[in-house]
Amino acid sequence: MPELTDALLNPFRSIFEWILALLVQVNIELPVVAVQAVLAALLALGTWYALRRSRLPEVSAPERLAWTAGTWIFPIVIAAVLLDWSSQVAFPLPDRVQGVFQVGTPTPQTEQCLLITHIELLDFRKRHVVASTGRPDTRTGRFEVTFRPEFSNPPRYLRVASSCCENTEVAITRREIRHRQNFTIPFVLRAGPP
Amino acid sequence: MRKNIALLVGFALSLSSPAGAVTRISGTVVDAGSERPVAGATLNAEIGMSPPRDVGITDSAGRFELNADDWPKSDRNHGTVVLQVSHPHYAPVVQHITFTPGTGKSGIVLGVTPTGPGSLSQAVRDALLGARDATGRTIGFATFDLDTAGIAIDAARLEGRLLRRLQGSMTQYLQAQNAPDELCGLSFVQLPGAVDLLNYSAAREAGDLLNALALIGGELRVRTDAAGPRLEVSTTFFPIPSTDSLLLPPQRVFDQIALDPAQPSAITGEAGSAWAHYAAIVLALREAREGERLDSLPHLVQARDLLAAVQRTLPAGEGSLHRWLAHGLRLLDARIRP
Repeated sequence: MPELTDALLNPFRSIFEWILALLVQVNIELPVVAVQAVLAALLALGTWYALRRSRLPEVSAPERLAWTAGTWIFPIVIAAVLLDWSSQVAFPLPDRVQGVFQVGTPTPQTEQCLLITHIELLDFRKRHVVASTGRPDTRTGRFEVTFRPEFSNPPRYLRVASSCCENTEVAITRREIRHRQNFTIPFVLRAGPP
Repeated sequence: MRKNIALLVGFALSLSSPAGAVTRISGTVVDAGSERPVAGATLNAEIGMSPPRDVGITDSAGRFELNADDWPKSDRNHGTVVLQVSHPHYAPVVQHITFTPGTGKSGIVLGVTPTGPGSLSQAVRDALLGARDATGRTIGFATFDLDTAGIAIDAARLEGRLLRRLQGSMTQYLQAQNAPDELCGLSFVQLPGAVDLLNYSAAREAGDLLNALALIGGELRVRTDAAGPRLEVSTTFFPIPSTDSLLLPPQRVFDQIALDPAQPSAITGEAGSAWAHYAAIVLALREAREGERLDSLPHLVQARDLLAAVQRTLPAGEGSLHRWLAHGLRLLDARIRP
């Protein structure tokens, strides 16, 4: 069920994120849920207005067609927002992301590097998600990051923050988080001291 | 009726969490080669999203124990603890341990590997000797790794401002504890790039050559959220002075300091109190060492007064440091009043 709603809603989510990314460019930063709420409210008003306009006798045929289309499209978007919210309430994402560094045979260098390596979670704007420190196990390379899920804004990237290995960035999806995907990250030491 | 419902709810809750259930996590730190227990290792634990905290020092049998019930239930329920073991003569190790919330886990064995001999080159030794501070009031710092998350920041300026902020907070704290003026004037000196704080032997050798109170180094991460930019400081505080019976292993210090939103390389927030506490402790260790070396009572009294001041002002959550301080005060009291 969550997979079906994800498949249905992902195009809408992408549009919201695109709108938010545009707003960030003009220095307006809003939570996704706030933008969804404002957009749903505006579209509810738009539906009411479109209904009124489409029934006026003096409106030309093409304009009537446009307003009638609005009375169908606007509620679909509102329904998508409401479905998204209910899906998040009904099927909340786990609050952790886990995986392992492909360390190969552990050496003192890899253990030393793992000690100063962290896993960070970023949202679609590449902002840090509030999370644990993401320190990996220096023997096995395993990591587990616990994060505070933000409504309508799940982690979208997993980033390796380190001064001694390659700072890989991996895109992650809701589906992978939901299925507790075990992310495998190549661990490539940089030349020189950390 | 309402009272009865409340009683029923209370009864149901008491059934779901049996009285006296303790989530205890315990084990032993051993030398990975000889499998002998390692005493004096510091355990730092992170459970869920709570910041990491020092939870204890291993006893003479290498044993450690922590009570996960000290963490919020939401964190504890994750069932994983990230344990970091630090010891002056062993390489630090981080291990993820799973446990059962409500029960815990016992019999954990954490193996640590001895660090090799100090690996400082003659050029580095010469540089450290050249910067040696005769008064012993210096803290050496290794250039911090800086992650700016893409924000344009003058790294050197930010580091300089952070050190000034730390210096100010340490001096202010020492003055507030009525420490003598000659103890309050701490300074920072940059360590040569080759000194790696993760190589404990080399770091200790560097600290001794510099006659330093402590070495610090680690990572600075600039982070932004709705509250504005902040500097996440994740460092090692490596105490240098020690006596035969009093040694503080390297400590991890995590801090978050607010940055100026208009100019993120400017620090607007205050540093946490951990830095000042550790500064007072290393000063006390130096005084204790001088007291033992010169058989001087005033130095021992000064050391005891400093440790007592830290004990008075330490937050309640710092359990392992409280225990260390109590141990140190007992030792010093025994020396002062034979």
